[in-house]
Amino acid sequence: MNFRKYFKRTCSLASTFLLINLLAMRVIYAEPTADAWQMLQKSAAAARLLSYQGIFVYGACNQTKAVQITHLYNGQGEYSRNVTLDDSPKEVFSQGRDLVIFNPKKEKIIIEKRRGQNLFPAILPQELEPLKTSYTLYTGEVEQVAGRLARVLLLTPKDNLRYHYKFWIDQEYGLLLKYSMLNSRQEPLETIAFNQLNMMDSLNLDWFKPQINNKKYYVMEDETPLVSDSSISEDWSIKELPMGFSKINQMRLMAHGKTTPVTQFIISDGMATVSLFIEPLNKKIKPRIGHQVVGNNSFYANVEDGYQITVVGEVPQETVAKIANAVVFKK
Amino acid sequence: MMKEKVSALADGEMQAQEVSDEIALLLSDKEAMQAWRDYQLIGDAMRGSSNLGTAFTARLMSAIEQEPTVLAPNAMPRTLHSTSAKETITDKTPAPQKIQDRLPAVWSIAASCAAVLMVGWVLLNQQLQDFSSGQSVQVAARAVQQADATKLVTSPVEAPAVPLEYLAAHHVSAPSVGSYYIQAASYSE
Repeated sequence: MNFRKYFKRTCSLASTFLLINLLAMRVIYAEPTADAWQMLQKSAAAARLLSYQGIFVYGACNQTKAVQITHLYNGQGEYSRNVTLDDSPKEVFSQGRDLVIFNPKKEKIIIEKRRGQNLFPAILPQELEPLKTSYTLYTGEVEQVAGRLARVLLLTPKDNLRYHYKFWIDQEYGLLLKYSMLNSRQEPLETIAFNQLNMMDSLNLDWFKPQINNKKYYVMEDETPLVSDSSISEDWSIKELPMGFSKINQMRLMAHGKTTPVTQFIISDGMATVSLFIEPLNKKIKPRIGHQVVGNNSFYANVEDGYQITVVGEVPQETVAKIANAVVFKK
Repeated sequence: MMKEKVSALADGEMQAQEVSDEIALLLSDKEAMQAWRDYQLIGDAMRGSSNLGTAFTARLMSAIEQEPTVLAPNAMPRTLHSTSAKETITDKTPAPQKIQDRLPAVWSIAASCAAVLMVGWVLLNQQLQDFSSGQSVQVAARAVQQADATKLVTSPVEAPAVPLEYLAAHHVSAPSVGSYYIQAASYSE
């Protein structure tokens, strides 16, 4: 009996000790540090300034894609080629912020032009300071990704208006090896991870050219001139956006199949980006009201004072509704 | 005919004597000279020795309109050059003369999760069935195994209520990471 009591007490003490330890570990794990921001800053730079090749896997919306990447920085410029590893390979070439995409569509290859600099692993903004308004960065443990050791960093939102981001940073090179976007239940909505990675020594650019498919026609994507628009509407204005979000661009464009121009605002908090569209309703436009979440995209549509308001972005549903409600009509 | 020679010349597929003859001819033919410059420009741009800016796109558009096989000059049978290939191009909207440098103004469908949902689940291992390189299949298969290990949240498989052109416009102006890799299902040509 004494032994049993002793055993129970020992077990109880042990479990208490274990619990204290776990709590202590949790505190260490969760402590936000300046070092973490530095590590993230280094990672943002490493993705652009290192030369590497490998294969990564993109997964979201029940779909996975393996992508072969070659990235070169030659001291002056940044070049990359991303090719999807499937029977209809899509090729994405980037030179600095300019992107040319060779996108197979049936019997054609559509050549698309884009501007941007968020190809994996260069998905982090170069300026991290604005993120501190809306997110806290926590340091996690060391895990293995693509056979390499990576430090986990957690970018956690300070409110429920944005998703969580998890980064696995290579301990040696600082390169982002894996990234996940998670919802508030910590379920991944989008994950990209290197499966194979090698550093490159050569400055050779022979690989920087498209694989020509003899059986396809190459055509440029239809483009509609986009007008940069800073005009102020007499009918509406945008009042207070959710905390951390700000307008980064405003345009007027003719949407596919539309007769009146649509005003588009690009709104971002540094990580997440949202588009707000405002267009006057007419007989040809079917009014839309509703909301929906598909994968990591949330939609919100509303009609007010003869205008169609549509918001789309990689944020939770509440955020798109709040951004739509920031449009105020002048009576 | 001259353009076919220009393309062969650009690709370095001619013998030395032929090259010198063709260059002499080129210099006397204004249109051929322009075609030659276009080929050179495209080659340079894709090798990274010039900016893929406004001039590049305008010239590429022009070159493609004149010669649809410009990026694969010797790829198609010669007889196709002036028939079906050109018909394919002519139904396109004319090339914009001025292209904004800040953001491309495109409302065609960019890759999107929502669009992908419309075609259902397309798993990589199915796509790889016809993949020719054994080694690449092996590599990609390993990649798939890893992808399978990451448990992603499943979304309801239904079309979004909001038209896809809004999502497309969003991805064109502010491309998300995934929009580069996944295909849109409802691209209208």
